[in-house]
Amino acid sequence: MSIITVNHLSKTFRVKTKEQGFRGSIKAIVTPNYKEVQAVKDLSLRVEEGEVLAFIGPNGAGKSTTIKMLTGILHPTMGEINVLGLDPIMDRKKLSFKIGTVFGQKSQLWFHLPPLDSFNLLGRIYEIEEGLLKKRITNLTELFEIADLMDTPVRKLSLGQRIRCEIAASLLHQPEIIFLDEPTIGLDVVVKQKIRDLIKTLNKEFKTTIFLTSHDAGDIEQLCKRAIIINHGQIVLNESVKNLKYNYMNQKIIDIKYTEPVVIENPELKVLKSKGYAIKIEVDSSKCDLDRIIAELMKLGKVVDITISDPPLEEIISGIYQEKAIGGDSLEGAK
Amino acid sequence: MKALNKYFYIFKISLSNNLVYVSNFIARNMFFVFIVYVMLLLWQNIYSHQGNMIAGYTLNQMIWYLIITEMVTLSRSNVFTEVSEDVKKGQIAYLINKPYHYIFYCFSNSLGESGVKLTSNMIIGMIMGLVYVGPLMNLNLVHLPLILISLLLGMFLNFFIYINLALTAFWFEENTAFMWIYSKLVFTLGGMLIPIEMFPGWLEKVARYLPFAYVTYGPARLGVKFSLSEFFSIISFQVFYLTVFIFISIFVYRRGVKELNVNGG
Repeated sequence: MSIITVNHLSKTFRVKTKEQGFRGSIKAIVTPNYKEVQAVKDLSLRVEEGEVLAFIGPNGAGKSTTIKMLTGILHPTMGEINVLGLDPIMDRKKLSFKIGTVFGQKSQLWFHLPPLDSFNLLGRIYEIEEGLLKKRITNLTELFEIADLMDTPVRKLSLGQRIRCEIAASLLHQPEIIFLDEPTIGLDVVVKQKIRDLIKTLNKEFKTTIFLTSHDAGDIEQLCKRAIIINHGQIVLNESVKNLKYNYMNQKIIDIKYTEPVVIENPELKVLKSKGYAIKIEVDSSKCDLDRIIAELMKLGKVVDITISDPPLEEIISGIYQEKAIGGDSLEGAK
Repeated sequence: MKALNKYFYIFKISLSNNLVYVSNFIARNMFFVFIVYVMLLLWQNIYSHQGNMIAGYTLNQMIWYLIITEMVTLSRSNVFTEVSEDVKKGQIAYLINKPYHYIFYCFSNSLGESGVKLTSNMIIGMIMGLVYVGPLMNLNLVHLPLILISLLLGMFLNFFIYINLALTAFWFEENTAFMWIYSKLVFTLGGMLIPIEMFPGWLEKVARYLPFAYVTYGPARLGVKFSLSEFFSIISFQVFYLTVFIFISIFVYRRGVKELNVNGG
C-alpha cells in the first residue's frame, strides 16, 4: 500500500533579480524584476509502507523543497500530495502527529538545556500521556545509547551525540513515516555507521517508513532498497538500489599486489594507479570476461593480494547525472 | 486542556533556557539605572522651576511613572529580530511542522524570556525608585495585583504588535524600519518619555484612542495614580487592542505561510 502519493507536483519560487553594479541596484528599487525559479517540476512518486527510500540529488536539486511540501511546510504551486491519506497543507497539524522529521543541520533540542527537558516538552507538544512518555523515553534512550547524556546541556554534546538525541526526539510520538534530511552530514565514519544501524533497526522493529535524503553513497547503499535521483527538480532515475548497481556498475575495480614489478599491456584494462608491484585497474565487465582477465593477471607474476570491488555509488550517480544531462541537451538540440 | 498545557510547558522550558542569560540581563540593567538617573536629573531641574506638581504628577510620581514605562519596554523579548530572521533565512520551516500554533509558540517562548527580564527589571526598578525618590506616594498594596495585570497586558500587547511587524518579513526583505517607527511611537504617543497628560489637548485625546498608550502609559498611569474607574477603562482598551492584534497576527501568519519561500537548505 502506498502511504505517500505525489502526482505532478510543481513548485515555483519568485526570486527578485538585480542587474549588477550600482545602477542595477537603483533600477531594482524603481522597477523590481522577478524571475521564476522552478524548484520542482512535474514530480510524481509513490512510497510504500515500510519502505526505506533514498531521495538523492546534488545541491539545489529540489530535495529539501520536496520534503518541505510533503510535510506541509511549503505550499505546492501545482499537483497533489497525499501522505497517510491526508493533504499535508489542509491537515498539517493532524499529519504532524503521524510523521517525524530530522533535519541534520537544524536542531530541535533546546541549546542550553539537557535533552531530557526537550524530550519532555515534545511529549507535551505531541500530547503523549505522561506514563507512556516516560516509558518511551526509557526505551529510546536505551536503544540509542543516550541514557547517560540525558542530563548534559545540548551545547556540550558532540555532533554525533546530538544527532542521536535528535533522532530519538523525533520518534517520541511514534511516527509512521520519518523524514531524514541529511542525517549523517558531518559525522565521522564510526558514528555514521551507528546512525545507519539505528535507522535499520527502526525500520525493522517499528516498521517505520523512512524517507531519506543524503549526499553519502554509503547511506544509500546500506540502508535503502530504492533510490530516486532528482536533478533540476525532476526525477532522473527511480530504481531499486540493486538495479542501480547492476545497470550502472559494470565497472569493477581490481587492486592487485605482486611480489615483483609487472607491466600491464592489455588495452582492455585501464590502469588507474601503478606503483610497479601494486596496481589498481578498472575493468568494464560488460565488455570483457572477468574470469579471463583475472586468469591473465595471475599469470603476470606471483600474486600476494587481490581485491575486486564496485566503484563508490557517488561516482556512479555523478555518471548518471552527466549522462542524463548530455541526453537532455541533445534532445533539446534536436528540437 | 492538553493544548494549554503544551503552551504552558513551552513557557516553562523557555524560562529555564533564559536563566542562562541572567547575568547578561543584569548587565543590561546598568542601562536602566543610567537612563532613569538622567531622567531624574532632568525632572528635578524642571520641577525646581515649575513648582511641585506638573500635569497632576509630583516628582516622586513622575520618576516612578518612568520606571514603570521603562520596565515594560526593557522587558520585551527579542521576538521581532528572531521571527524576522526565521522568516528571512527560512529557519521558520523547522519551527512550523509541529502540532502547535506558531504564533502562540512564539508567545509562550517570549514569555519565558520576558519573565526573566521583568523579574530582574522589577527588582532593580524598585531599588532605584526607593533610592532616587523614596517610596511611591499613596500606594495601596491592594492595588498591586491589578497594576501587575495591566503591566502584563501592556507587555502582551507589545509582543503581538511586534510579531505582526516581524511577520511582514514574508513580503519585505528589510523590515526593521517598521520596528524602528513603532518603537518611536511608543516612545512618544505611548507616553514612555512623558505622560500623555502633558501633550496638547487634541494630541492627548488622539493618543488615548491609539494602541501605543496601552503598552506603556496605561500600566504606568495605574501604577502611580490608581483609580478603579481608570483601571477598568485602561484594561478594556488593553484587552480590546490585544484581541485585535492577536487576530491580525493569526491572519497575517496564515497569509504569509502561503507565500513562504525557502530556497535550498
